[in-house]
Amino acid sequence: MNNDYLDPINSLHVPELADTTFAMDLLLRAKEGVRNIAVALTESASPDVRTLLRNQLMQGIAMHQEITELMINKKWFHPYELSEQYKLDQLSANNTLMIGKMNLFPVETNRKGMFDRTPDDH
Amino acid sequence: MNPIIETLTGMDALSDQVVAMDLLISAKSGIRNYAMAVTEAGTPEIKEMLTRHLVEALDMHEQISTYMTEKGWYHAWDTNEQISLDLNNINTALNLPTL
Amino acid sequence: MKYALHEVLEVHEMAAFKTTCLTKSKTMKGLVTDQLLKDIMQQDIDISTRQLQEYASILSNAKQ
Repeated sequence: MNNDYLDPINSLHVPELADTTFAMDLLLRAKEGVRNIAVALTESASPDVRTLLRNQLMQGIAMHQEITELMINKKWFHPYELSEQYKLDQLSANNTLMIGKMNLFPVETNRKGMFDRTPDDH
Repeated sequence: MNPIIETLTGMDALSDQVVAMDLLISAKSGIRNYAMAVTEAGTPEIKEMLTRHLVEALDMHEQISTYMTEKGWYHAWDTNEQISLDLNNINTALNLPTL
Repeated sequence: MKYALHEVLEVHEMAAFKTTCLTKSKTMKGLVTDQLLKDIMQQDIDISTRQLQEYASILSNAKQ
């Protein structure tokens, strides 16, 4: 671990890290989508809205399944081995902590003084 | 049920309307529970089963809501009508004697 | 065990929910007068019974 954001060592494995992060984000969105559509279905009464939502619900579930399988095959997600998943979680938690400790904005970023008056004064 | 027994046991308040509404609410929370469960399942066997159950719950929900709409106990299209029905139901429930 | 733990817990939750639903439908069906409502409730009872049997088989598979 180091706190230097310019150190090239930190750019190692970034593409893989990015892929896992985006895949997890996609999985969570698919999951949220399925739940939202199911809730919407319980609130809709007109037949065409219901058939539309039902089709989308089935597509959403299939999509969720596909992403889950992809993530399991790529070993980005271990629903069956909790110890494996724990290692992965530790890894990403430590990475996040490391980024949080980096001094990403070393120079002064205060923009006070760039404008001679506040927008309301115009 | 026998009207006399109904009054004696206080069961007359438990009309078909109340039972149907209970069924509708159960179906609705069932669908939401299923949607949660489906997105947590990974094993194809469990996922397939839960998806099938979700579809059955959706059919049941649709059937009950259609039934209640036909009976005039549920006004999805007329908010004012639904509100007066709600107020009526609230008063019925509030005025029920506690056994 | 061939299922993931969280899946089994999820099935357990659904089984608990469906058990109360089935109990309620079975007892309340006797209090209903309308025939159509009775039919719908009977259908609900049949479906719930089958679903609960499926949960039971999954849960007994999951038990070591």
